[in-house]
Amino acid sequence: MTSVSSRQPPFMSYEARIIQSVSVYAGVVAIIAAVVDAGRGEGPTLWMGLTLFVGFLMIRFFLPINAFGAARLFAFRAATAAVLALAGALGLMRDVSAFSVWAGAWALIPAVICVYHAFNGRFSGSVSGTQRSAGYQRYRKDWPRFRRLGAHVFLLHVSALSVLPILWIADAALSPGNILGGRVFDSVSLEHFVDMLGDEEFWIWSRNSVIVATGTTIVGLALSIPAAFGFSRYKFRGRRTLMLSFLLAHMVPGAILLVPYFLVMKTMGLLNTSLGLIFMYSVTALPICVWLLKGAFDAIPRDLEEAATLDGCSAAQVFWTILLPLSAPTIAVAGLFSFVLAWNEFLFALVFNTANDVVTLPVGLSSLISGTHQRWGDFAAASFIVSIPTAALLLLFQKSIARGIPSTADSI
Amino acid sequence: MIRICIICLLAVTALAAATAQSVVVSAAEEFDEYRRLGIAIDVRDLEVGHRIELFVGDAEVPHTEMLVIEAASQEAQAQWQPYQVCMTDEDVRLNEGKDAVMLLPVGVQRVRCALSGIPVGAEVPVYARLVDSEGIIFARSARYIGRTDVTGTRPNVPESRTTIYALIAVVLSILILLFGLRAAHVSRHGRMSGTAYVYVAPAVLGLFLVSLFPVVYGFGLAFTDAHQHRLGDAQFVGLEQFINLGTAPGLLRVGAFTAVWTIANTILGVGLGLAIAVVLNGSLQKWTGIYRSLLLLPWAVPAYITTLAWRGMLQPDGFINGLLGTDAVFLSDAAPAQLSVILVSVWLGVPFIVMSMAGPLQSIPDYLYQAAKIDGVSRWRRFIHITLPNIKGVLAPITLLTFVWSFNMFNTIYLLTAGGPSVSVSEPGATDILVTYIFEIAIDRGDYGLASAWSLILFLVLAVVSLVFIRQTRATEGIS
Repeated sequence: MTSVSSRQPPFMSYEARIIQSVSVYAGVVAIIAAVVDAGRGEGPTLWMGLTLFVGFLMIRFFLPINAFGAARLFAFRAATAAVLALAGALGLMRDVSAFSVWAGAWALIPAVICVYHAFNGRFSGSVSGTQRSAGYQRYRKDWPRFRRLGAHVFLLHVSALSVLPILWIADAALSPGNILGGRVFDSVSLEHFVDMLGDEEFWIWSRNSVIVATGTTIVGLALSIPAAFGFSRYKFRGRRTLMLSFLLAHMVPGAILLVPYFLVMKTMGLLNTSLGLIFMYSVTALPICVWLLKGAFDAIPRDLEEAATLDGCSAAQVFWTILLPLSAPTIAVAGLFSFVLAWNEFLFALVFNTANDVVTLPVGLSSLISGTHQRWGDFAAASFIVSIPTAALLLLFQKSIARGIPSTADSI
Repeated sequence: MIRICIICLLAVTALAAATAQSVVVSAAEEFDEYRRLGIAIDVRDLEVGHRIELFVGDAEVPHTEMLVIEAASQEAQAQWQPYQVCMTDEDVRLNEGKDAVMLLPVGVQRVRCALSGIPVGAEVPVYARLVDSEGIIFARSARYIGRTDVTGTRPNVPESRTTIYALIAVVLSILILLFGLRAAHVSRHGRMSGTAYVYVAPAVLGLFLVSLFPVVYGFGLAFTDAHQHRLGDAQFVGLEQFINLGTAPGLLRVGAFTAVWTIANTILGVGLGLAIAVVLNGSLQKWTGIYRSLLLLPWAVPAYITTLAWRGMLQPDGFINGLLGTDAVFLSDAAPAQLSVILVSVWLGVPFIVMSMAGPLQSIPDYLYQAAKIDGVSRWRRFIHITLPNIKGVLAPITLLTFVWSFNMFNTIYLLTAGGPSVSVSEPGATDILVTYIFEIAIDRGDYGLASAWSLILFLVLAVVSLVFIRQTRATEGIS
């Protein structure tokens, strides 16, 4: 039954579907615009009216085909087009914010389509058999294209939202003075970069972050490579339990254990030292590193090692000449992961290292805009410099991310 | 007319004060500590709104300020733990209000303080003056020359009890570890090798020190009154901290917002992420790569930076208001702030979900869709009956992870609003979730016992939710 009915021409002609889809978008936009208007304190009247009309328009297209006669249909379309065009024009004229241009466009586009179809016979209405099948042909041809357009519209919006803060950082870093809003890139100056690079504190933070992140990488790899090797090459009591406990430890949130962590660090005298953070971070990165490296070691055939042993290699030689070189890419990734984790960690650094000479970059940068001073421009410039290691991680990880490996960038 | 009267009144009061000397500073040696000077202040006839300003040395700004308040509101201020230590004559510790001003209940005649930051052996002049609510000084004490001779590197507090708790925690966690190993031994028997332990030991030791031990230690602390100010002599108090926690003001509000926050983050994040991933996976061909790069771009910048960038954009004169043409206040009013933190958090979480879904979506064989299309299955039903079951293996753990992460998301809220806007002193702010509230209790107030009790509750909630979810969806099926 379904297979037969699906081959029939669709309920609406494709023009009707296009208008319907655009109207749905326009309706959503009108609702957003009404909310924004309310936020402006202007009262949402204009856009409320638009919303009602779009709603009406949509209701029309959900009605059965012959609900209106041809003349009345024309009148209806023309009226809708006029109202939409008026609403769009008014929306555009109110002010010149980027938002009103965007919102106005959504009223004007369906208006243009309505005008086009009001003077163009091809529309749902009472149609003959040939018209119907011609419409179906057009639908077959154009509908996927239109769908793709819809996907583009959706993804363009999402992408714009996604890069917005980065644009803002670029703008704030390059604008002279301490400007938060205003026009984007209206004047360019490098003063914030000069300020930051000449700032002694920034270099202290960077030094601490480099020490902590490098230390974390070294200690983390020194701990995780042997562990991964042990898990990959040996069977022993508690192997499964230990591996699972590594995974579960990753899931126990640090924020909850803040107090015991703090007291442990205090007891060991590791507060306000880089060593304390290195210790903390390398163990935090441990589960992921061990699992990553275990996977890499598992992928190396054991025959290779056995052959080398037969040729007289010692266990250490096997490890250094066969296992390490073959798993080097994964080791690099694990090392970079530890590095970036330490580079970006905020909470522990905030709590453990409060003395000025041991503050790391995340806490230092956030202190640029807390309380008494709000140095947004300097903060944005510093952000650019600080993002370099993360960007490197992104480039390296790109393939594995695209393959869909939940690559732990989450905890950054 | 009234103003003149007030001035007359003030003049009279000032005259009276000058003659009767209504504030006197003297020594309080029992309060002397290393780099702390104990002094006592005797005051008379103070009214609500009056302030005591305490000057040390030649400084032009007061070292310590006290504000006289109603006795009832003193109780409402609850347990703020100030840096300066001051007590009333009944040994009740003064609380700290806004701008580090100590709050003094009306009617108190004598306050004793330990002023911090006084060099050992130095003679420092101390005097106090009284200021009324209009800012007019109406009394001033004579100078008192103070001196503290207590030496040492830090206040002498015994560490013994904390050490005992730590030792108990070490023993307990070793026992748990051994028990786990034993259980594993019973269930598994394979080729065994002693050398493996040598390889694994350092990592396990580190994990033990940083994960298992603190968990046990923290659970132990939840039953004590451990506090920043009496570190080392924490007493076992049984369930008292849990009673404190259950009767804390704002408990329901912070709990409700945590629930809203977590659920909204999970639903919006996973829903939007899945929608974007599905659209990306559609027939966009060469465009997919471009969109994917744009969506990944936020990852090139550390999350704390983008969060702070959002904070900049959401300022009243910021980018978002400029874009919308509004002058809305986003982060200083309760409801908009709550909405803002949730949306920013979704923004931060979506790229990860999109990227994690990309692979599984690509691996769904196309013929399934083709066959369904031929059978006339609608797009929505294709999504429900083909796409969803095929990506369930990834969707379930990702939903769980999103849930757990948002439940524990400290950075986003701390950096955007720091839990504010505040509702009332010492209560959780409008955007506080449990984790940020614990941070406040633990780090700002130093109440380790109470914070540990909260952590224990949080841990249990999280464990139960995760276990139920894993049971229901077998989210960890893939772990071998």
